[in-house]
Amino acid sequence: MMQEFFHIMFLPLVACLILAGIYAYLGFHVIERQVIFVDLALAQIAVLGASCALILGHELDSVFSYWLSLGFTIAGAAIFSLTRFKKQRVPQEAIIGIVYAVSAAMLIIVLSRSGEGDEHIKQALVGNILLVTLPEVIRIFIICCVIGILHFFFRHQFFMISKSPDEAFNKGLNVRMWDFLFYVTFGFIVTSSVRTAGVLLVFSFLVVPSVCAMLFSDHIRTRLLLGWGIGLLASILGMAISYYLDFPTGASVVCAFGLILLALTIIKKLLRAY
Amino acid sequence: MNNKLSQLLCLLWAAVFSFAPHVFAAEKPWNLVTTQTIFADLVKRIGKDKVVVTAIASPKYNIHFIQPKPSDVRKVAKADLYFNAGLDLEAWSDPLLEAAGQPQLFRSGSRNVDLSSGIRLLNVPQSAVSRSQGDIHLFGNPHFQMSPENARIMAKTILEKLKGNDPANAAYYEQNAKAFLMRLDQKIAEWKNLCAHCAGKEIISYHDDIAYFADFLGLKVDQFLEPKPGIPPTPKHLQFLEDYVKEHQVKAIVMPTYFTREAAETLAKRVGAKVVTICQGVGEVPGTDDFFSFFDSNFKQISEGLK
Repeated sequence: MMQEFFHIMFLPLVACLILAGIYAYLGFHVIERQVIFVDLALAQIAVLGASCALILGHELDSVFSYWLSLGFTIAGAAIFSLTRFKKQRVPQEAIIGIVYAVSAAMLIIVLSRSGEGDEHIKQALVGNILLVTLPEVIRIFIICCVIGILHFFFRHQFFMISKSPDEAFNKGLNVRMWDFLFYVTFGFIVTSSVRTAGVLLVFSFLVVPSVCAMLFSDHIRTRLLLGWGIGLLASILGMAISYYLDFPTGASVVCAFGLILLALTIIKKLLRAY
Repeated sequence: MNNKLSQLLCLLWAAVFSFAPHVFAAEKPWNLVTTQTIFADLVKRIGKDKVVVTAIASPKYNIHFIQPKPSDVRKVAKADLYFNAGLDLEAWSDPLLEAAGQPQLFRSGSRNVDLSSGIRLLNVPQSAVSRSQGDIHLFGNPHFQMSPENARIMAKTILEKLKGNDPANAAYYEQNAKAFLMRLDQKIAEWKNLCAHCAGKEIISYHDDIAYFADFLGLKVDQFLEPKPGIPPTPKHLQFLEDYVKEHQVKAIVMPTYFTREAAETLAKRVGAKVVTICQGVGEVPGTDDFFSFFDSNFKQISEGLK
């Protein structure tokens, strides 16, 4: 039984663990910046890019399609970094919401005029982590490593623009440039993983571990470690739920995240009561 | 005495193990997996009690887009044979096979049975196609299960495969296939008779999944609710269809259960036509639980729809 579990769930589990690793870290930034839905907006932009590639006659899984959706994502990154000001009057969440809505609407227009049936596109946003292939896992792993290393080298800059942008401005850091770099790397990861995992799962990997960790600590290091632990736990729990109860895999992991958040909230309340 | 007992046990052990595999091998039915329910029914009709057949795709959903679950991967991993429509109908099938990890079950593997083989395909693109034409099927229309004539060819493919993998029971499979084909001949005559008045009439279909059905009955299908395959109806296209239906006196708009009905209902209401449910899979609606009742239902529907 256990052997069969690993035979079927091994690759999805590995994919989940890789994503949990990178997204728990990125989630920290996203929560600090209060740009929670930025991944949805970037995913939508990436899909818009892919469907434009389709109209130009390139299949969804072609190299051209990948680069075009990446190009679109970089444009999105530029929008997000240019709309962040020292004194923010329009909240960034509003900009993100607008970008999401407009790119979703443009997608509808693009598809209505010509191109592929929109179910294929929907598929690109839903993904099915259960059927992930080894080359896909390797590709995601390499991308996550490259971006992880980049973020490790420039961690001081990245943490400063996320946690205390005022201080960064005052220190004369080129906040706009670092912001842009942040969104480009973030967009790279989103573009590469949404087709495999789907937007729901990516969103959960991004936000839930950080939120859970925030319940218990204020320190960056502790929060990151807690976040990774929670990502790991949710992935394993989700795989087990999906396998033993035979539920769709991605949705099971998302619900496992919800369960863990609920359990941790209760534990926190109990801890405080005593 | 202990020694003797253990010797005896050893003997018993050996006896059980030398006989058991043969006994089990003879009795254990094969484990066969199909993509669609209609294929499962056909395989069962020829394999009968020598086979256990399960279908992956629920007939309640569009066959192009199925989300396999862990149990589906498990089923396929244990399958002795995998029957599928081939072509590019079941887009989820290749990733599913890959996840199950049995190379012999992969496309063109020795345990993969492509039921489209030998079938005369309709709508094969004559010129180079591009994606701007919508979800175009590069090899031809893959909804070939919709004509009972094609069941003859599929039955032969299934028979050959079962015989090839289990020669000991060849005669049994032959006999079952023969019985099925005889009943099929009778039923085809009955269905043609029931729908004789349909020949030459025109219908509108939601998706281009009706070509073989139409071909069987001599129906004409030129227009679809989808402006392009896979793209939901647009207002302008509905307007175009409204004029078209009036001009050509089309009486019926046909569609399976899993597409949204609003567009078809709206059009039908505007022009005074009927929306007729033509199932694509065995078990899609109650009373279509096997091959024959599935076609019984479809032909009854179209016959009444075009009266």
